[in-house]
Amino acid sequence: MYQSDFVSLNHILAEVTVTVNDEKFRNGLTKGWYVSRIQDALQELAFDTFFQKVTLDLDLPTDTLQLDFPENIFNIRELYVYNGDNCCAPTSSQVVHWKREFNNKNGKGNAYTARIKDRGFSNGNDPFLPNNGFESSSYWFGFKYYANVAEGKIMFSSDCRGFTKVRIVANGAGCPIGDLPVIPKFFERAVNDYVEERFFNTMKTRDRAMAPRWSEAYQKLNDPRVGSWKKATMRISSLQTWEKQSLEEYLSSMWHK
Amino acid sequence: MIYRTVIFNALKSFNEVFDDANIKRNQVMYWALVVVNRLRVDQYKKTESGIFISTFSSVVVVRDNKGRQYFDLPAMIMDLPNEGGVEYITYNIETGCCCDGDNFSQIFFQPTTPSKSHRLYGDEYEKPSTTNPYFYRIGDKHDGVKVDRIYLVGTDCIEIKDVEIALLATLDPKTICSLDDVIPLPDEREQELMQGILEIGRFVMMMPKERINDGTEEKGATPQTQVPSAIAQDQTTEE
Repeated sequence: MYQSDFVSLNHILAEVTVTVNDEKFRNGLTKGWYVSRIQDALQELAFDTFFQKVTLDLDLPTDTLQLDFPENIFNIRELYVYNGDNCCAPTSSQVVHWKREFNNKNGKGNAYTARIKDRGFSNGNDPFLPNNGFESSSYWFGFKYYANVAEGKIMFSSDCRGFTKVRIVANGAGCPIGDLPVIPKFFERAVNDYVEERFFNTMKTRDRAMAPRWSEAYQKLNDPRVGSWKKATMRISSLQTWEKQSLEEYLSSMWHK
Repeated sequence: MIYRTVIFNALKSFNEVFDDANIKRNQVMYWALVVVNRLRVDQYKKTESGIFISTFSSVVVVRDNKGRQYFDLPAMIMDLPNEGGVEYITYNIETGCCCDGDNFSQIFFQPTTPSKSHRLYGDEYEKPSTTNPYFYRIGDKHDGVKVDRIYLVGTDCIEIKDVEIALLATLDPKTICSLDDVIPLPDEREQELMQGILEIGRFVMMMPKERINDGTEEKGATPQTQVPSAIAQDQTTEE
């Protein structure tokens, strides 16, 4: 499910501070503490639901063919190299595939290691892993675009050097720490309940009387059937009507061909 | 309700019970202030109403010898948890002054303590800054000098001329000029006020006689020890 409507940070603060009876921020927790918990909630939801998809257009370092793994993203969904005018208008692009155990550390782009390389002669005379290269000097299959993530870097194959830009489509990990969080509407309840649970969890170490309240808040958030976290994950994983109808049409027509 | 009513009422009661005691009007007035201050804190905790809030619209901010910004508290305040005695402190981020500029530019200060403020720097969202400033109170001594100050945290890099503050003030005896002043307490707490004054008075009157300075030692006589009644009775029986 997608939605472009968001609720503001102050909207969440306005509700949650009343719920936990801290409208004046005089329980020893600051306004920033609440904002920090809201950011935490979005981060956790991002990891649990993959709700956030971001597209990054970056320069490809053609000398090292290594790119620092961008901050605040995880789980690369799509990777392309492309050429284009200015910065972000791809005129020609190539899908970059993932290659297992590819590592061009300290190489100048061309040199790399992998258990199975383009050309098998790199592992010659190995009785346990015979040459499995899919290409040899007499058989050339064309340009190969692949990459791998190692040591915090995205490492690209040497053929990617023909392009100057990289497009990464990945899952975002909430908002970057320090930025003001924006909260999708369908997460409003989950974020509220998350902050409430964190509040009572903090307060119960100062006052044991808060323990039952924390327990209630925890249940409200994490109940496996009706908890707001569960509802949030279900909402995000539900199929769009648009997607659903297209899929149904596709599947039904498949049986009649 | 005015002080005169309460003071004379209490005095009349005391004189009826302790007719030899020479209770002064000032004494009862002091007891009244003690009780009123306690009741005000109690009332605020119960209702959180604005009945005890005093505002000061332009309190000048200065720097101490270390360059830290502070201002002197213009009144004694209630000592509530997390500096609850300070209802709010604001300044205008655009002008550095409490009064000029748009209302939306008013920045609120949040409470902290000198030691707790270190933790704030560890969180990007809590870090003290000009848009997220804090305050703490130094209410005893600064370099050996008696002070009652509020220090500002996060605004060191800019100049703030003054701030607007609202305080939950306690009663200052110096500000009571007449017995006909109204007691700043809701009428429904009158009964507790009277009870409180009478309790203090009764406690004072119950002071053990052996602690009373009757001047006998000045004549060289040994002060007589008062034997508790139960022991005295036993001694009589044994004889």
